Amino acid sequence: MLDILKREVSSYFKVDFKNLSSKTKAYDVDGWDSLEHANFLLHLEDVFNIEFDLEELINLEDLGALAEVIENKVKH
Amino acid sequence: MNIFLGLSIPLINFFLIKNFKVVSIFFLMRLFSAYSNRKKIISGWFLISYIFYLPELITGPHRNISDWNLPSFNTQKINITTLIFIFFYVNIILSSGLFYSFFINKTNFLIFKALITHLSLYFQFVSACKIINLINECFGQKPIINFNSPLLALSINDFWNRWHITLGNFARQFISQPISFFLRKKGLRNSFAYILSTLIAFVFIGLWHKFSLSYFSFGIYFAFFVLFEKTILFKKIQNFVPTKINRIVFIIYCQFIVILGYTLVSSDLANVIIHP
Repeated sequence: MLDILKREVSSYFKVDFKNLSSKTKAYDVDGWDSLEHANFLLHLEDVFNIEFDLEELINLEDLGALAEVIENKVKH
Repeated sequence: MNIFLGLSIPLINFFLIKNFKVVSIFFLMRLFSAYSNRKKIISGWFLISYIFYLPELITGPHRNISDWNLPSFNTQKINITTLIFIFFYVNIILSSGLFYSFFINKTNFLIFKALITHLSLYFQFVSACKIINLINECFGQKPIINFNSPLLALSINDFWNRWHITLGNFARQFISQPISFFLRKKGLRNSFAYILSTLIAFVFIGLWHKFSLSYFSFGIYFAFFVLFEKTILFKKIQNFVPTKINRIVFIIYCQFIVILGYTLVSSDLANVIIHP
């Protein structure tokens, strides 16, 4: 899941896939600011056909945590 | 729980007596929350240790309760270099206070007073955080990055990513991003969601310091410039080449706006800066 997410981040923000890891935080990615944050999450909802809860999103620290949330959502 | 703690601070401020340190209330609430959350924090000893070890008191909110570790004092980490550095930073705090006292009454110009306030606050806050990190190391805790050369920021957006990073991250994580996401999901336009969430986040940052009209204005003032830069200024200068001259112009622009913002709260900050 992390690799799929990294690919999404890479294509959405036009950043190098190799520079992304499970420890990458939003502010490490060029263009991932507050303005784009909501749009990107909505994009992920469309891609994975899931719905995020606000509480889940608040506790997201990095890409690894986001991948974990998505994986759990996709499984259920 | 973290959201409740963070959001309740402006509200608590409202009931506090003048000059009461808000962060101490924040910290006490975290202790209370830690005590309630016994899955993670199992012993009273943890709480007692934390009462004597208060990094958040200086730095602002920067950790989730789950990241708290029991402070264990490592005597090997205390050496002459650590003590010299602590002594050095204490001296910076004291000399900044003297600098502030010396210059603040020399002029009636509000902007000059704000400049003195800005510089003194910066040096005192940075030094306090450096001391906290030295103590953190002795307690086996991770260092806290609270400043990233804010005096070299090229925009107000950039400034708030470099100044009091812990509070900025908190406001971003718990306020602006969730609100923005919620509003977008409700079908609001991107720009409107961004404007509203930014305004709320900056008003929170203002009121987090003190529940007063001056800090409310402070929040609105910075939100205005953040939005202005994001929606107008930087769209106009998309082809901006970061040459040396351009950088200097943008640094001056940024610091001028920041100092102008400090005029709104300079009398409040007189009580924050340590000075004789």
